[in-house]
Amino acid sequence: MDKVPLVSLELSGKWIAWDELHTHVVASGASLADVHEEVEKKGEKNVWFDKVPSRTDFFGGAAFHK
Amino acid sequence: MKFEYKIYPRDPVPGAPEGLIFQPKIPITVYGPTGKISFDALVDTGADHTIFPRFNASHIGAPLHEKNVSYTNGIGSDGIKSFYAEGIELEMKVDNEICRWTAPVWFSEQDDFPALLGRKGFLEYFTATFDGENSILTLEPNGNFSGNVVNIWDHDKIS
Repeated sequence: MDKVPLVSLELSGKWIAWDELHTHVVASGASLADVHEEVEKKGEKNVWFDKVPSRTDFFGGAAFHK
Repeated sequence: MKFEYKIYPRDPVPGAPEGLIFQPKIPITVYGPTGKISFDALVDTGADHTIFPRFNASHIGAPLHEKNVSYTNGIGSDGIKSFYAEGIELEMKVDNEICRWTAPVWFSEQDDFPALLGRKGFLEYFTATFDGENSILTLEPNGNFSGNVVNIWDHDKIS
């Protein structure tokens, strides 16, 4: 198990793409589609998409009803 | 298969002054008829099913039909349309093991939530241990699991 580095607080709430080894963030954006487009433009392969939690709100879980 | 929780920074608040969020997220690859996409997906014991953002469906060629629509609550608002898709495979890899299986999964109409691994399609196939002290999730295939676990070093099929 390798520890994934902490993302910066500025990425909170955004979609990001990690490189193949989860060592650095190669793209970020407001939507998954935006990040995917950026990844394609950069020619990155085998990335991992991740939704970074909000810096202010807790995620209540899928069973949480708004 | 052991996975360390993902750690994210957040603003400190009363009750959580450390300014960190620990989430049991695991790297998972979703395979469809025409492609694949990989996520750090949240293992969510509160989720009834496994659900991904709709963007994935178009990317991997998963067919979405109105006859397969159901509704999911609790991922941003009530009653979000979600589409059941057949023939989707999920794969997770850690250290020297690859685990792959065909899973019933859904694709939400909205994209603004993390990929969620719930009971249907994921937790039903594994015995999960959430080690809160060490922030480690352990997953072991159980009797419901009918996929493959492969050791990538010796290529022996374990199950």
